Amino acid sequence: MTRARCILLSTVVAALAAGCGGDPVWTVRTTMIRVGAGAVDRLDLTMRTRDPDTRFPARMATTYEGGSITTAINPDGQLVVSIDGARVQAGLRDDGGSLVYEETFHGGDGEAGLVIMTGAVLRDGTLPITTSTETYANFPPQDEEVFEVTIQCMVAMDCSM
Amino acid sequence: MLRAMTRWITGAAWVVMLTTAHATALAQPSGDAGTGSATAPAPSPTPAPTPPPARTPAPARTPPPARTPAPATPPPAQTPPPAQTPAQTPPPVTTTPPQTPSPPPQAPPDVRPGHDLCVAVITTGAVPADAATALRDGIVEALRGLVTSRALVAVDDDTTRSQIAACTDDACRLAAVGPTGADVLVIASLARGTGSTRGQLVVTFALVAAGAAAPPPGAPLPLGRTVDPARIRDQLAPALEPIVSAIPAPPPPPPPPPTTGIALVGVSADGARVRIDGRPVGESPIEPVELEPGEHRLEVELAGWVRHRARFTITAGETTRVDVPLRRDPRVLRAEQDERDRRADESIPWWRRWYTIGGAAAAVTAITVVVVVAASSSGEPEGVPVPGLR
Repeated sequence: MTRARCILLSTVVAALAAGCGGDPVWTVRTTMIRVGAGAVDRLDLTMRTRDPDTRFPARMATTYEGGSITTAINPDGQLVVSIDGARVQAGLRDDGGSLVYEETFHGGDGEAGLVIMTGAVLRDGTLPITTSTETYANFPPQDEEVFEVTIQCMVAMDCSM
Repeated sequence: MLRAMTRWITGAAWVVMLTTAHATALAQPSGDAGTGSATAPAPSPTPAPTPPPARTPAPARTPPPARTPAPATPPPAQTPPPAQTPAQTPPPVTTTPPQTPSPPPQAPPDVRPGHDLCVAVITTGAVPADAATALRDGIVEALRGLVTSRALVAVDDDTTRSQIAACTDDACRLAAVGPTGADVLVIASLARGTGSTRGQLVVTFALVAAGAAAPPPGAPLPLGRTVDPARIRDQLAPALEPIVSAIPAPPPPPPPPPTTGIALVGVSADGARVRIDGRPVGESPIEPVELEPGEHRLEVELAGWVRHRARFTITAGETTRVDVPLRRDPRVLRAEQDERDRRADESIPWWRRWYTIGGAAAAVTAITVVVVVAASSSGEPEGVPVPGLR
């Protein structure tokens, strides 16, 4: 019986270990204040490290979800996630006068550090029309962790459409 | 220690008519007259003037030289009388009294193991010395035909006879003949009869033997009035039979010293083959084994047990015990343990056996791994992949 119990315990431990080895899945929730859906041509989410000695490694820009999402590392070592406006518009939901968009990410294994997240709604592809609050987050994030990014229309800008 | 018994036999005396001359001689102190009268030819009808061949008398006074304390001078009574003086032998030629039976033909003498036998004749009253001498010699001769003795001697000296007569117990009587070394003493009491046996000589026998039971009282034997050695011998033989029969058997010779020893081999398991000096002696448990003195080799074998070898020493006349504690063969023990484990496994339900559980665990592990791998290989998890910091 002891031998059988050992085998069974080893199996369970192995199974748990196998199931616990995946990347964490986390979410960035973007709340847009005084921004109309039609005004969103593109949503950029930027993550930069606070520690200058820690960077995202450089790599080629990569697209996902049929090209609607592009991730790239700029020369400063910042991670920029660009989400196509149509995808954002399709995913927006009204939350008491604000529009909320959530995008799910996974991965992020590597060195631990503090990152600063910002967001921007761009019109005509390159013109930001909003400002963003800085969100600090420990990277890599925990599984199912949610980061809140709030952006609002800049003064003197028409963000309705 | 002597536990002897004297049986002075009392009984009616037989009267032997002595010749007138002899009777006359008895009244005189001189023994010669008595001798002459005692040896007077008695035309008695008593048979057996010629003794049986087995009783062919050897010289009555020839005991073993070493044992013969007395001179071998034959008594005058045994010498044939030169002649019977007519003056001394009145006519009444005495005949043997009618009550004197003829002695039956003697059977071949018994051959009994040797004793040192001593014969003493004690006389009481007015008994002529020559009569006593003739009686003594006759007893010795009769015993020679009945007993095979290591030594047969007669007491000749008056001192010893007086000592014996004065003794009140057997120990004293045997001690009196101590110089002879005899362990059996035949005492013949010769007396003159009284009453109806007046004028006759009567002899009674007693046996004194060391460590012997008391023999039955012997019957008084009348000797008649004539002292005829040959006739006396024939008369004495049957009378001595009960005396001879009562002579105890000599002590058995001591057993020879043992030349071997006994080995008691005790084996802790039955059925083991036992060998001593390479010779099979049986299977345990085995009987005691008689062995020569010295060292011996012991081998004990039994299937499934470790062979045992040992050496032991046997001493003559002693019993040596050799204990053999057999040990189980470790290989057999291991095999038996395996067999017990196998039987124990068979008694467990199949779903509780280790290989069933192990197999199930392996299957779960395999499925888990497959699922994990499949999940991993099915594509990126939900969401956009993000690189890690470096």
